[in-house]
Amino acid sequence: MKSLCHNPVSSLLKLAALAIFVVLGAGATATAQQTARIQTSSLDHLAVKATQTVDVNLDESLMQLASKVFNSKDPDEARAKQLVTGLKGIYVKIFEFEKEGDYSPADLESIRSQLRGTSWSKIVNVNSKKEGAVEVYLMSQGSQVLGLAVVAAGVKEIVVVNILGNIDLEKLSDLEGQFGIPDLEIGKPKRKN
Amino acid sequence: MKKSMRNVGDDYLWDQTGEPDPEIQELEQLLGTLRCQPRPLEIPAALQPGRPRFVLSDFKPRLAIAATIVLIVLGAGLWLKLERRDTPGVAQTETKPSASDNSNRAAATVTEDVADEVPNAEKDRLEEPVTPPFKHINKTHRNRLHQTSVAVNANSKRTLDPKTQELAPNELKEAQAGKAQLMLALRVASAKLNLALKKAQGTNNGNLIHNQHKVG
Repeated sequence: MKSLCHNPVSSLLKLAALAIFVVLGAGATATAQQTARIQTSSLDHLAVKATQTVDVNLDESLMQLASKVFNSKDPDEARAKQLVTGLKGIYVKIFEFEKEGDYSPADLESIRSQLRGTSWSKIVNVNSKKEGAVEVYLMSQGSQVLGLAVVAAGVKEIVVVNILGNIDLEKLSDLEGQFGIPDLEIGKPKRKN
Repeated sequence: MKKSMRNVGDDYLWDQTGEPDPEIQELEQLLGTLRCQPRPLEIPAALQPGRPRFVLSDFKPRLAIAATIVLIVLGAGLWLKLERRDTPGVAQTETKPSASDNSNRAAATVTEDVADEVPNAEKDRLEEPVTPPFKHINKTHRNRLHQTSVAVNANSKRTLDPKTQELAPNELKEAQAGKAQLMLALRVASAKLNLALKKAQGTNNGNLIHNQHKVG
């Protein structure tokens, strides 16, 4: 405060520098959120061949609105609400086909090319003849997760999931089997009957 | 008078020395009642230190400012509330997701070929539990993407948060549809993530076992 009184010009410059720093930081975060968004419009032409198409586009405002109808007394809904709290958007696209070969692997190239950037890192890559390929990408900045992308190319199905924001993978994984979400018993030991 | 003055002398008149003059003494007595009589300062009891003072008077300007601010805030809040109540149509048009707007607002579109009555096993498993919201899947012809499905939440009859009760009916409907879409998205993401993790873990375990066999 003393320096502010003594040298107002330098203090103003410092304040201006601080303001610029804050604005740039906010801008960088916003840019990172933007880059975590994957453009899936290149897949729209597959809708002609698909027998079923699911397209979910939830931006932050609608997620906030939706989170208001979660029942906080219900532990499952409270958990889901908590998971959604830090998110900026969820985008899902699913195409299901009648038979094999209705889509080509090249169709997914436009998606994969966006994920090849330095900001994304592939954390899981699975190839299965029976269930196809599943790739999980994560965009992070330090310890903070900025986005998640899942690209699953099944034999008769394409699934692209894009989640923006700080998603907790463990909590997301735990959601299966709750809240009307069927537990596919993936990754759990099978019960002996 | 002149005679006595002359006889007595002027000393008593000027400095009260010498022989006193009775006339002057008489005048002194008459006028003496009017002379200055010094007395100690009398402070009113209300202002004496050590006694509790009326504190409110010190804060009167601040109280007036605070009361003005509170009144302005209350007035603005009331005005906004009345404004919102008077124009629900505007809020509806702003928040209602249109079928053509597919860019940012939510649009969960599920189109299905009518001829396709036998979905694959995974689809069945995924669709089974969330029956009410997704029973309203649009069964339309192909290429009819981006038709917003009207999702009805089965859990809407349950007790809702107080925040929910604040929502307008239209907003509530939109929020419930959004919730259904949100759950669909989370379900798909969770299932695929778990599938990938399971496969990855299975692969790693297999390699581990294989390596152990080699070493053994």
